[in-house]
Amino acid sequence: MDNEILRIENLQKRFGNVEAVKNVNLKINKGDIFGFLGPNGAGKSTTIRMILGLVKPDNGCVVINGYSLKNDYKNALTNVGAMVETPSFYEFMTGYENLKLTANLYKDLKHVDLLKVIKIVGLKKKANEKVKGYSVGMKQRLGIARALLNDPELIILDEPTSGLDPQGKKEIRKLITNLSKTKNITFFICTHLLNEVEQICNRVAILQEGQIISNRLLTEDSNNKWIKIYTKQKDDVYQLLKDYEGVYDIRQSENAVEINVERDVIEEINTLLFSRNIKIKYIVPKVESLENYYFDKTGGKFDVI
Amino acid sequence: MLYRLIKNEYYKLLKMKKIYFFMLIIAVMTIIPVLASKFGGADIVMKLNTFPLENLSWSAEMIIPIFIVILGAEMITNEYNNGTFKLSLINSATRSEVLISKIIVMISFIFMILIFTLMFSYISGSIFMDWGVPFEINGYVLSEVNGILYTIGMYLLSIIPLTAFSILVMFISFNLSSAGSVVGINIGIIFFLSLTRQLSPKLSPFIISDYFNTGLILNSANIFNKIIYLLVISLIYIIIFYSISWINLKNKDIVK
Repeated sequence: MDNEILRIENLQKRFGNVEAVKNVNLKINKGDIFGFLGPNGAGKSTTIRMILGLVKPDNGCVVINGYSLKNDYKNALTNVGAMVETPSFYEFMTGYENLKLTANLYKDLKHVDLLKVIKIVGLKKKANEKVKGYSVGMKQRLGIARALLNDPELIILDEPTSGLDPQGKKEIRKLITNLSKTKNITFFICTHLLNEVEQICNRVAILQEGQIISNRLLTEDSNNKWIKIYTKQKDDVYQLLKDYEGVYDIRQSENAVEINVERDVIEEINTLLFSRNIKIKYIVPKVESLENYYFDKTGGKFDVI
Repeated sequence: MLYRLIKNEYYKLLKMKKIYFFMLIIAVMTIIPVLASKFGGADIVMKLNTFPLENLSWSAEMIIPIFIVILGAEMITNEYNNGTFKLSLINSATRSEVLISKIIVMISFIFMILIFTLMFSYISGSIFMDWGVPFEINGYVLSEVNGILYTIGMYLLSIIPLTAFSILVMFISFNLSSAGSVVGINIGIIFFLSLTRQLSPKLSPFIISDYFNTGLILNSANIFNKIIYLLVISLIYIIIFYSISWINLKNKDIVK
């Protein structure tokens, strides 16, 4: 509970006949880089807007840092920074002036704080130019700078790399990872890009048609593991292990047998295969890509870039 | 937070080129009759003691309401469409604070533009015009100083109906999705109200634009009654349109 920074309970939202968000439950811990994945139209942005109080939920509650958004709006949002969809700015003002508008809303933010975030996002040279001349990447950076201004504990980013070229995407990912490490900021990143989540997030939830269909750690936490046994005697291995206790799933691929097995049983299996004179080339852990996992979960409704 | 939001609204207002353009229009529209009075021959005679009130007539009835409409569309509809309206909200400002800050800045704008009109009228008029005969209100002749004070009073009084109108404009701005529609519909409303006043004198006491030109109060048989009407009708407009705007905003899903 102490480590929890954001909790969403039974969140629901309907727009006319469309049920955009259906009973969403989430819990984010301090220090997480949480990936909120889902295809376009899954309800990600609506969920984010409900977290930020921009859209009123029909049901459910949002608790940030122990404060209920409904009952204690100001305290709930005090330590939150956010960039919702394409960041919007007063285009007739400079980057610095736009940041100043946000800084003005906080008591203790000074010129030096603005310069600090401008430096972090690498916009020092462009800060005094009008935003209408900024590229998409520069606007994304300025959006992140704005989200960082109040020194938040939680930053919510909606499609932070949208519209960026590969180099820009890489830089934003690096920035998020650095901020997480150096400032221990919790990130809630909403995206439809699988590889983005895979590269920077430690936890991921997948939203489809308004419902969470998966919520798991990306770092290994399971008792089971997929391994690949490379051998010429695939059929023998298959017959030997298909009903073996501790083996939950078994498949044959081109030159290996893949098994989903309890971690403790792996060594036992190795001994068994050796004792039955089965010649093993090697046994390796099977790296299941997030892409495969989510294609399985969603039936292939994701963009992979 | 309210103070900080107001500060931000001023900051944005002063960064907008429109504000300076509005002032330029007022200046040009003021200088034209001044020059006409000086160089237009004997047919056009204007005197400095009444010129600021005559200037209030066209500015408060036509020009300032149009400025209010443009500014309302900018402050609310454009901000909503551009996605900047939500920025204060995601930084802990409440919806009522945002609404009140915008209303306060709108009132300040009306005050500022009226004071500019008044001062520019006196300054430009003093270069080319004679003072003229003293004011006379219902048989009472006002001294020069009292005439100026009366003029200032009428300018300040016109802030009230113009504020009521600005809250009507803000209500419309919250409910339309394009700034063009806001400007078009509000200008339509200005003309409709003006036409209704002319066609149906019985309805005119209930029409807010009837009170924009407070200089006309001078011509009323009962100045006191007219001012009471101005205050009551303005207050009714303010209460009704503020309340509806507040309820709308409170329940609105900010999706841009």
